[in-house]
Amino acid sequence: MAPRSGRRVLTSALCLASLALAGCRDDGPGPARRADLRDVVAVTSGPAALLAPELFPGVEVDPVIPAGVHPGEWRPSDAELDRLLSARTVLILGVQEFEPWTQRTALPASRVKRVLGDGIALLEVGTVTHTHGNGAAHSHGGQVATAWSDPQRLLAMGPDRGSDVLEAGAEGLKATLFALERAAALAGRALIVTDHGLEYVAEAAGLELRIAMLECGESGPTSPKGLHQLASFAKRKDDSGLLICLVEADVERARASAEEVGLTPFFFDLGATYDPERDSLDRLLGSLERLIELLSQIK
Amino acid sequence: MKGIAYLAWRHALAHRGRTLLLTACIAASLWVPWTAARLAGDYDVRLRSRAEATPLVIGAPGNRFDLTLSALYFRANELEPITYADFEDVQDEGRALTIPLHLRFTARGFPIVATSPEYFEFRALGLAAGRDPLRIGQCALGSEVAEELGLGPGDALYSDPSELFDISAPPALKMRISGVYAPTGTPDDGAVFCDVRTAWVLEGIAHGHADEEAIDESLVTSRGEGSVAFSKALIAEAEVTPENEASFHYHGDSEGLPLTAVIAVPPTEKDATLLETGINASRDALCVRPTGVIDDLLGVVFKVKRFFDLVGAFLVGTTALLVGLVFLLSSRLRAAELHTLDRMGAPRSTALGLIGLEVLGTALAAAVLAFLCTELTVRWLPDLVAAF
Repeated sequence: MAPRSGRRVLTSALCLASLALAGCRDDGPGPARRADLRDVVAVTSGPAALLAPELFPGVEVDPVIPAGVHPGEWRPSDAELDRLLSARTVLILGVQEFEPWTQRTALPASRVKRVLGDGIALLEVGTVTHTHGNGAAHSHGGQVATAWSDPQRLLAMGPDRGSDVLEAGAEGLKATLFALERAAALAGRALIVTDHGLEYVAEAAGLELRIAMLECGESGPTSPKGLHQLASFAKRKDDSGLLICLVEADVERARASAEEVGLTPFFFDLGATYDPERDSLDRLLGSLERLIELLSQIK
Repeated sequence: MKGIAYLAWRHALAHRGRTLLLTACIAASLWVPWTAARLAGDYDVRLRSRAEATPLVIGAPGNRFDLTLSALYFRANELEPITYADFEDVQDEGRALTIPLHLRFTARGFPIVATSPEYFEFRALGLAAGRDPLRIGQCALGSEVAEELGLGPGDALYSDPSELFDISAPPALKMRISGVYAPTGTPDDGAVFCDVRTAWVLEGIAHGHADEEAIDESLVTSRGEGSVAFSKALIAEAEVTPENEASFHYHGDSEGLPLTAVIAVPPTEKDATLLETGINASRDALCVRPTGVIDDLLGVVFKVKRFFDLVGAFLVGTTALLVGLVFLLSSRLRAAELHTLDRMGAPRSTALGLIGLEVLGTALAAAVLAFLCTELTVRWLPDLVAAF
């Protein structure tokens, strides 16, 4: 009996020790695998969607931003963030004022390509004190990101080898801006605009911009300061009589205030938003032609 | 069990106390050097594997040990910052995958590692729950942090205030936990991860604007045209919420934003050499190979280990002599028993075989015991590499 019980004790001790060692292996739950990279170019604005096929020919373009949403107002959802992170390339313009969401969102820096790199000089705007609806007045300036509205810069944003599409677009843009210059010469060279963005158009067409920083928010352009600024702009000479809004919703918001000082609100689509039906250049040219038409009527 | 094996077993059982004492003595003398060797080996392998997995580290000119230990093991540091422009310069060279690191802050004593999504992919950090911290103000926890603090996705974690008595310093940030990483057995388990933009909020560079309409009117001391004055009782508690996220921004050029280090992962040795020499020649930054730095560091550590190896060998030798003495004296005491074997006609080698089997059995049992003790010690000791 004794040898058997001794063996049993020894065997049990070894088994227990083995179990104890095995039990120490606590590797926790299996790690979740991240999604593989997709061979797409993710874009988050209209101009990026325009340029992506020229910069990455043959690669599928994935417009992550919903159609009609301005990059300045966009907050990517979790699903949209996943699409950005899983894209092999994320094409952005690279101007924080234009894409403020990039200041608040983790982006894989190695996969982000900026269209407006060091080679393209952007116009700078000085600090302007302004309000958001009834909010407190504050100031900031920065770079004007709408460089695609300038023919030369548009070509510089494209591929080094050149692009037939962009060259044709730049030619069309140049001709339309020349027509705008002639129309404005007769109707008035000053345009009142609710925000920055038309600087390249103004520079090319020889126009003067008066930026009424209404920044029409949900609470409407009811700030006395903004209205006072608008009225003072409208009273000046050489005014075209138009209040150009760069966000479609602002046209309705600004209508009452604009009519009060004798201005006609007009939505100018710079092509900043993504539209699956019409590219940014097409919409920009359309807005320029409509502006020329309106100026011709004023004449 | 037959023959002398049975006799040896019965003798060992009959003298349990002596057998156990001898087994324990031999096991103890083996356990100490074996454990030291295992720990040193693990330490070496894990330190080197972390260093080998990190081809290049770039930081401000200074102490290369501080730079490497900070970037790899998140050790508290007083490193001079480099700028985001330095990071972009390395990235624009196109010779390496570059990963920014900002390592100045802590949350409840754990290091906050502010980085970009590439870090999680580079270190193969798998999520045990939730998501990577992809938004400003979010963080994800290493497995040890989550376990120790008992926190998980959806909970909040405050950063430690950087300057306790400086009221102009940014307040602690209430970070929302987006996820928890699975254990990796590396220093990543003991860290809090966030996006590098969150670190700039902690620095006070990025900030949001509170909606003055939402603040308790009793805390407003005066309202002027374009300005509102608040009472000193209004202590800012920074938190990024979906409601105020859009107000967070930083002014000026992003190129001047601070970083602690950059991890560079070049695809080829040639790219690594060109990048390293290019950066070090510029003298504006320091580029180090962590393997070289860790080799130098371990060189010192292993000089000390050699001394302990000698001590261990001396211990084993001394124990072996003592055990030999015990068996020698024991055989004298067993003279009558061995004589009986002789009288029974057993060959002379039987007595030698009997004692030899007893020695072998005791040594084998001691080795098994020492092995089990070593394994348990290695597993239950605090993770030395993580605590490095």
